[in-house]
Amino acid sequence: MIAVVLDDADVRAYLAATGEPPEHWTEAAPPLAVGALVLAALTERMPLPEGTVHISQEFEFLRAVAPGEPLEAQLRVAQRSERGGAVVLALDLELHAAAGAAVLRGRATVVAPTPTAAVEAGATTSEPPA
Amino acid sequence: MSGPPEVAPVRRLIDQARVVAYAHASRDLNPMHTDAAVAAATDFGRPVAHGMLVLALVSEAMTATFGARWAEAGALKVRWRAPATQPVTVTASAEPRGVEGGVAAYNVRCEDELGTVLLTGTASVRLEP
Repeated sequence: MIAVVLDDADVRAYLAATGEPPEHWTEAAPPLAVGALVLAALTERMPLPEGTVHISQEFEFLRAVAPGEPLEAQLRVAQRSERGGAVVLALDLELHAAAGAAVLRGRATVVAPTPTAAVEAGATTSEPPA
Repeated sequence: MSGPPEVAPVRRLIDQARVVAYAHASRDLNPMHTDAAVAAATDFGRPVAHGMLVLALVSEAMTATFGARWAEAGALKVRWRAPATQPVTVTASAEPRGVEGGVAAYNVRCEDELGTVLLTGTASVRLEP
């Protein structure tokens, strides 16, 4: 599990960068801000090769996340295939509140130009590849 | 049965300053988005906006209609179709598909000012009981 916290400054920075009006997000974080930071945290732990392209994304938002709320994220390589010399990876991610309830689930699909040990099927963020 | 609520499109300029700000806000500092020299060596040839930044406009459109409910009961499934090379004016739209089982469903897309489709997919929101 990877600890993730989205604080007020993170929310303000996200809203300023995207241009989204802040009126709906005074007590909760925009779900895409949560999703983006989770992806960043997880891919920092499981680096992908240079040139990797994010081709599709699924998110299921299960409840609002409050700024400052401690969260835990996990990433799992759900599928791995090869296409034209590139590796296609489906990465399942899940974000939990510290109390255990899931607050967000998703799947990111990426195309990586070369295989690496870090992206072999079965690797998870809680069990780093040897 | 009434259909899903209408979702107003969101149109926004994505320029280099916005991409740099988003890179820091999202902590996605991949230089292919911000460094012309690095981007020149990629298949895109030029810096491209983060796909998640383009997708953020869809989320903003859904939020404008559903408010915080979007964060509690929303879902997205999208595929990026073309790179958004900045500066680009992106329009995110959501076309109502229907309401089934208490879930409002939409087809979503993002296009640039030339009509190039950048992203397509679906969005849904479980309506209040």
